[in-house]
Amino acid sequence: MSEETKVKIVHASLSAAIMVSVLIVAMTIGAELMPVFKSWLKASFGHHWTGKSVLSFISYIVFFVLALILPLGGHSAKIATHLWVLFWTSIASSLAIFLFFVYEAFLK
Amino acid sequence: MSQLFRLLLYGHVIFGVLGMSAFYLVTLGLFKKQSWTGFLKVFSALGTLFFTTSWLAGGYYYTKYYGGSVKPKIIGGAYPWAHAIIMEAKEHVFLMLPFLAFAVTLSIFLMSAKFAEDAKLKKAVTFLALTVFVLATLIAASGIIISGAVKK
Repeated sequence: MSEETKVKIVHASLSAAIMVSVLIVAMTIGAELMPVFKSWLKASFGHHWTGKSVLSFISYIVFFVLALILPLGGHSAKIATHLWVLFWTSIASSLAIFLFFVYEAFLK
Repeated sequence: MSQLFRLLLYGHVIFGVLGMSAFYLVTLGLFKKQSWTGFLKVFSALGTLFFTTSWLAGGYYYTKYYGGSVKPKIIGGAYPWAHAIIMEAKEHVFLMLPFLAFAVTLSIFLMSAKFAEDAKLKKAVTFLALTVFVLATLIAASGIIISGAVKK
């Protein structure tokens, strides 16, 4: 496998993970604030959590393939930056989910 | 609780702890000045596999058993926040874990040849692996709190 292909695959996996982390936060908060969306997830997938899981997995595949196909910054020097973006996105996403449920439980 | 749900719950916990332990080893390996690439590849791949298995086992248990049998006990018990905050956060943060673990695994499999010459790259992978380990630890601790709340 060429160096360029390796960089493209890692770049695609990082980009897809960043997008899915943001999507999970959006679906989690969206489902609580919009009962219609939560009902749709339940009606379509049997359970809202199953719906979020399936949509996350499908979105990951789509974002991964798109990042592989589209000519978006698959440069070796940018991999470290991408890793840090995913690092901060995962921390911010986890905190956003936790603080949202604290707000829902105690402050709403 | 039926035998199936008991097995799924045990599987969820055991594979979750195995995944957490694998990423603890990966993080330690990455912090070393000279990392053994084979070790990092094996344990990061195993960790991702363990998290995915824990996700599937826990997911089935959660969607088919927890909501009808466990959740009402916690909501009606002494610590309803154990579901309203801890369980709600746990079940959604857990969704991210396999994707983060897979990103670390792919980075190790495809980029570890550069770790010796590119300290910035290695540091970034190390901190992402550390994040996976810390999130998995917090999720495991959440599980302990939730289990405790069922008994009260």
